[in-house]
Amino acid sequence: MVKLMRLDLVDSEHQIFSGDVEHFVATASDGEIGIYPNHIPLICKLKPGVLRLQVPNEKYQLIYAVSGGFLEIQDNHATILADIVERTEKLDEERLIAEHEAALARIKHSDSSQTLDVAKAQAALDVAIAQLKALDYIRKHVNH
Amino acid sequence: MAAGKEIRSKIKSVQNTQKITRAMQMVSTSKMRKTQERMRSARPYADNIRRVMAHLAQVNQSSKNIIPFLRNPEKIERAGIILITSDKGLCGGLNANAIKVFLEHIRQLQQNSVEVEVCALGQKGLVAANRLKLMVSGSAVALGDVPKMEQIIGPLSAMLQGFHDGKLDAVYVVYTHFVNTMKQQATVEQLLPLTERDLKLKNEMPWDYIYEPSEIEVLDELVRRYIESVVYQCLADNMASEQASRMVAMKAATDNAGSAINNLRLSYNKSRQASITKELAEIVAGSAAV
Repeated sequence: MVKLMRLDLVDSEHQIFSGDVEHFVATASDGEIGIYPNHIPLICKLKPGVLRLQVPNEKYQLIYAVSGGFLEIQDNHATILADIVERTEKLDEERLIAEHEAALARIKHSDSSQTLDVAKAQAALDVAIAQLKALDYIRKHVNH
Repeated sequence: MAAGKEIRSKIKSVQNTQKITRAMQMVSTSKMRKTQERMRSARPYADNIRRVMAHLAQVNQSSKNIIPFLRNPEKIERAGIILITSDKGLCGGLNANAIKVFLEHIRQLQQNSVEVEVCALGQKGLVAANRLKLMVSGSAVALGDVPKMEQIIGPLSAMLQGFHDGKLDAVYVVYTHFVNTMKQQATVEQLLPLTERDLKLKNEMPWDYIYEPSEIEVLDELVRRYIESVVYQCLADNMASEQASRMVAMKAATDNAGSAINNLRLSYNKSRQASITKELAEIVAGSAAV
């Protein structure tokens, strides 16, 4: 019997995943971290990147692009409070590269007085980075 | 028959108005269901972040003074108010009530000589704040029917940064709380400094976490996200209230149009009957004279 832990993945607008997992890998601010059951209490910031969940009794992993947020673990229960999450099936590389560049350009050209525009562009940039990383991961590890 | 014709065109015009109000009623009925769902779907995040934050604040009693967002100023000198209203009108007393509550709160603050700055989410609130010549530090309009996190982060950041840097001593939010379809309540809530309600825990958990990168950085960011999620929740709440309020207002308008049509039709029939009677009387009188 494999040990399991509970994982809740939520973003500000929806609950995305809730259930048991064998382990998962997230992108923390200092690099990727793998979390297995009975981890000690931890709270850390996430940066834009990939989130991979190993669901029990399945060969495949669920892969999400997370644009940032928090990971909290206590009592064998992990909670990911993400900013924006997208399932990787929906991703399209060309669109992403275009969005990435557009966001970069907007940040570059906007002056600091327009905080609203900068915040929006920064959020879009984080999402694009996360999704590109997720795509990259899939290409390297899943398809071959 | 001039009077009859006039009444007929009046009936026609009321009927057209009724068509519009009925359509708006039906649209807002279906939108209301969706906005209520959205209000509910945002709840897991809010619940989770509140739980994490409450726990953090509890194990970190000692660090309260070094984390800007956890400070609790003794005297309030400058306050920020986030005013959430709808973009469009024709929704009953929704915005009027919210603005009334907002003004009452400002009056109370100003009595204690507190300076006020406003962040307006929604067109109606922005117009009201500008008309009153209040200082508006941020605003977002044309929010649509689906609340989006990225729409509110920008305008909010001015307020949050203000509290963080010590320029503001308190932040409040005014919005219309959705109680049920018939009842929406304009409310003021205190966001910062965090209140007991935010930091209360159901069961105590005495252990501490490992922090990455650092305790202060994590807490700082977390409180920011928490406030954003509370405001998001308020916005979703307000949108559900808007649709419910519009539905009720438009139903009342449709009913009123119905009774207005009935009254007009009655007077139309009366005047028609009167003219027929008059003509008959004239004919009878004419034949009698012959």
